[in-house]
Amino acid sequence: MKVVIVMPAYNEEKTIKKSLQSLKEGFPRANVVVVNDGSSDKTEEIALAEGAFVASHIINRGLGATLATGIKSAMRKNADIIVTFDADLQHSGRDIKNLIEPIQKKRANAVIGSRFLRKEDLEMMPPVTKFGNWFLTGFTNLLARTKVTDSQSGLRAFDKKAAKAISIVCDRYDVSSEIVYELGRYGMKIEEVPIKALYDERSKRKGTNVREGVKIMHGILLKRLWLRK
Amino acid sequence: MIAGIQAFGLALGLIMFYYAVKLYRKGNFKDRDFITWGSVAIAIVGVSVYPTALDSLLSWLKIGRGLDALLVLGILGVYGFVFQVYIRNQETQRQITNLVRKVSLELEQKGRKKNV
Repeated sequence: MKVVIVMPAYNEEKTIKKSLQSLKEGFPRANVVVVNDGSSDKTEEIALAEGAFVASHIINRGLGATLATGIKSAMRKNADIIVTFDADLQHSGRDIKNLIEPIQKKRANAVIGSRFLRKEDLEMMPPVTKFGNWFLTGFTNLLARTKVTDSQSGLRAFDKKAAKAISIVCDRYDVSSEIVYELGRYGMKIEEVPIKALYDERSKRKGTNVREGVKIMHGILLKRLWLRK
Repeated sequence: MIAGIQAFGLALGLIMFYYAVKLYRKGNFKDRDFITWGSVAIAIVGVSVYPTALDSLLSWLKIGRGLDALLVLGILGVYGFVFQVYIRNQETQRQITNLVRKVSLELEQKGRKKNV
């Protein structure tokens, strides 16, 4: 099965090289598409030098738009499994094997790497992030009629059917909830596997804050009603 | 005697009408824009000068005076415009994203492993 990893990246020159190396160490047969979301630094050059496919947005369009571009690129490459993987060193390439297993064994159409399934994985998560995730996941589950434990995880895998089904209209951080919503709407089988997320000062700053949380709720609640394709 | 909020209404209506005519003469307003905004300006002037002109309609609507009606309708109109602008903005954002995506996929490159 052909696995394509989609890595959204915006000004990640400090971490993208290590992220790509972590991917190759953990999952050597990965085809990687880096979607450079209008970075003003050397993200694009570094990704190219690491041998990845690079699709560059000429202006910044946000995480949701970037993931949608990456998924489209992966489908053009006839991917059987599409994995989304953050470029900020929060994820480990070693988790990908476990992540795609439920799809390989035809148990699921989509798999979410959850940071909430093992107690020890939660220790590193900042309390504000923990509460925000818990709240947004509850809200998303309520609207999507799903039972996921980590709707905001950036490490996910989709089979072809799920990738074709989901239509992303949310351009920003609200995409994570939107993906879960779409999977629920189309009755896709969702599984979760435990993952370890690593946080440094930079990733803590970049993560979802209260303002983003409100925007996510706005996105999932209103945009889905008004802008449904 | 025109006083208080009536004077403000009259001034607003006249300024609006002046700009509507000016923009129409310059060609920045189409016929439809001129008719719409010119009519709004004339209505504001009319209701400001003769606040009792629409009394029978207003009593049916349970609104006290013509100028009050204008304010209520104005606020409702602003809500409508904000909503319309929001929807148009969302649609424009989506079109920009689609365009940016199309260009990025057309120009996608395959890197070669080398040491940086």
